[in-house]
Amino acid sequence: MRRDHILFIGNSGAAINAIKGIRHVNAECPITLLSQEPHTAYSPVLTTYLIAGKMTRNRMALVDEAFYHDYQIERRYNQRAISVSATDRKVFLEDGTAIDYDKLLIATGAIPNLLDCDFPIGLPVFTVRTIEDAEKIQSRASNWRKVVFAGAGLVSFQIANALRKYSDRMVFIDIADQILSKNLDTQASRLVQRQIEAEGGTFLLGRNIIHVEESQEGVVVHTDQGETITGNALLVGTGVHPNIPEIVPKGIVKVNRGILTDRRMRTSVESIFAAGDVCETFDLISGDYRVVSNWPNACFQGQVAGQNMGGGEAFFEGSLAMNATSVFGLSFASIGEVRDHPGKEREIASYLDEPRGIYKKWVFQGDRMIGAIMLGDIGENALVAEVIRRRIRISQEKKALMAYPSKAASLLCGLL
Amino acid sequence: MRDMTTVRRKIVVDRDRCTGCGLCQIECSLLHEGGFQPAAARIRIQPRKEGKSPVPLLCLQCESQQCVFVCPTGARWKRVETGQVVFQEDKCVHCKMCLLTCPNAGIIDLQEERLLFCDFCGGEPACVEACPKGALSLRDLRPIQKVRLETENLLSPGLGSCPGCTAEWAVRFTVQVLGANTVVGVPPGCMAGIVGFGTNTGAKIPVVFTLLTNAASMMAGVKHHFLKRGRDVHVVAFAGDGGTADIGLQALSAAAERGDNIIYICYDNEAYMNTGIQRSGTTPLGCWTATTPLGKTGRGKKQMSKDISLIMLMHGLPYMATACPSYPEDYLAKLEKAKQVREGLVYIHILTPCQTGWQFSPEKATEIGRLAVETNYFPLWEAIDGNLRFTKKIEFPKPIEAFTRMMGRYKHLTRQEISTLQKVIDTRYQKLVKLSRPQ
Repeated sequence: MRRDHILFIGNSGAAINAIKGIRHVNAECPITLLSQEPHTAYSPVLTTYLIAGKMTRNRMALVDEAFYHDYQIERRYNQRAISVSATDRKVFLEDGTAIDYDKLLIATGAIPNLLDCDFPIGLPVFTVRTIEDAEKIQSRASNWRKVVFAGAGLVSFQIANALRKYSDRMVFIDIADQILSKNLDTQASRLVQRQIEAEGGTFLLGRNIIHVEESQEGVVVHTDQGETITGNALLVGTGVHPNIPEIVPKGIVKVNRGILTDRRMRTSVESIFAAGDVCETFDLISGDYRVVSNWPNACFQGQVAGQNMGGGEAFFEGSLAMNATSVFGLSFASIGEVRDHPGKEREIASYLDEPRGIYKKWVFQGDRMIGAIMLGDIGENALVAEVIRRRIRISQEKKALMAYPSKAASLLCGLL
Repeated sequence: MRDMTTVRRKIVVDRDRCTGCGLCQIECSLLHEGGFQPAAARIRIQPRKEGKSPVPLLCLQCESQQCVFVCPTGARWKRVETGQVVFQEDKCVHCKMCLLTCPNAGIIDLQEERLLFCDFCGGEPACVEACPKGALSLRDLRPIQKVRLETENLLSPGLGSCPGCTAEWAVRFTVQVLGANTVVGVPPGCMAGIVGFGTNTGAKIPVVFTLLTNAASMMAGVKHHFLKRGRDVHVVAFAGDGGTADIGLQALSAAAERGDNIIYICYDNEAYMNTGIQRSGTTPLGCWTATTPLGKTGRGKKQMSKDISLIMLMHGLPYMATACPSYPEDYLAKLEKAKQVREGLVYIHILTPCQTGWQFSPEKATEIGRLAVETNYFPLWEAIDGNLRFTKKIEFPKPIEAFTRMMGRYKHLTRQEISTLQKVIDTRYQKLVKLSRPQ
């Protein structure tokens, strides 16, 4: 068994699962973990639940203190690395010391996108990613009557859903022409929009925020089409991008949008691995390399990276975009490739049950299912997700689904 | 390393037996919800269209246990003692991450913001006890895991078998259970190619290359040599169906009659697979092989297969058994008994589905082996001093078509031919039932 010294930068889903992955194949190698945040690992998935009050700060921890002891991890919190020397395999820290490593894992996750425009410091403008972000919002939210959201995506809606008990007016501004443009198609997003409008939300779509000013109430937001919206706070939920640390030796480690990794989660440098939202890797459906930021992918990538670093061999099956959530009393799930792509050879089966508020859409390419939307009733989501993930060829079931799109569960259950 | 412990016991689902009666759901909801609430059961029964049996969907305690790895709250974790996944409902925030990644679609999503997980009822699942048709059953993995974790694998990886070969598994498992104090004899056949012989073997134990005609007598000689030297060594002959039922039969019969203390294992892939799929004595009725081709007149093998295990039963051996790689626990128990025999010959007949000769894709091998047993095509039994006892009683045997339609060698069978084959199988099974009754 190899006793390589493994160094982690980052401490969340990918890192924790990488630890499990390493110990699955290697019980001996020493592991050191560097983290800028001073607490045990937690999942950013839970921050919106923290705002909603469904979660408390104490229960946020992904693993307890005993975990690090059981798995023999040496932790260094509040430590910032300032540079990495890939040739000497050394990481230099702020305090002037250096750590030698044999394998390095970069799992720094993602950071939220900010507004394109500049705005004065001190305004009530918030992003949501860390515990601190959530606590800031939580402590102030009870005074907010009107909240402006930049971005009409899942994060915005989940926060809006949580803030419903305080604020009666919510305005969503998004640059795209439809809401949830990353997750849903036009038809489904229209249904969600209708539901949120019925609950008191207003939408300004196809607009860009050009300017944010201070006002008595809080903020004034100017759009590129001339509207001005006032609100007590501006919450930015325009998605995330990979948090590529400055220390990554540019030019040696290949970086596109994220850090480019192969299916073993190895970067272009043999001793450096990357996993989680920070990496750009194999996409299950298209086969391209791209950034898919979501929690389950980060966990699986971490496991694969861990097993390879520990001396075993594992391959990442590919990232798959997926989400299932429930906001404003409406649950919906989207899996895989669902957006309307003109010019691609796709076959689509869909059905809409207006009175019951149910919409389903199944997307096929060849004889494989590559995407699905479920809205109103998400009972089949587990089945469908597995059929898509396993890339099962379903020529017969496809024919039946095209004829009876509402019978997905009974047609697909035999495949698992 | 709490998340790395392996599962000890799991629920196994036989979908073909499910009638969708819902008794499991009722028992489950009574136990967990305290009332009659089938929708809130930890098991879901998905009906299918006319003519297809419903599919029970539940947590199968799978080895991947992705729900544990993706749970962002730590509400799912593994219990070290049992390997079972535990769920703490008060920690769960219904983020549905587990739901989307469960490979068995076994997590129940109650629309009122609750996720339901199977908790295995603390060890004795109520659904398994409630199932009247045996669609749900419990499987204890501990004996197999013990072999896997605590004994040495005496064959090197990367042996020269076809991908998905069940006979390779059989020989690997056999020597792993018998231990390093073993000598293996292989006559010409697949196994000689897989394990190798002389100084070029993939084994850490001696492998003797015998002639096709004399595997039993040659290994008997090896045994006598060790006995004379005062050493207690397991001597195993590992012969194919040709080397057992056809060419090597006289040597085997003679060794059985003499009572030579060797373990003779026949891995039965029902043809001479190594030389190009020619018919053998154990090739079943109507089966395609290279020498029983299909054509204007040919409809596969015209004769019935030789029931070699019954022939061996009539020798009155101290211990003999049939086995199948799809039932490793059953085979393990039989090997353990075979190990104890100190006088007389032990005969074990293993059915090893052959993906090359039977023409199926390798991942189906386990399922096909299981169907062979469940259709009574290959009943599992053992006999101590000639007293036959079934080790796997099939209460509701499946029609033989369930077995034949899985593989290419039977693709040509007409309905009439299938019913003839069914009759042969039924008669043979009845004969066994008669033999198993106490006199």
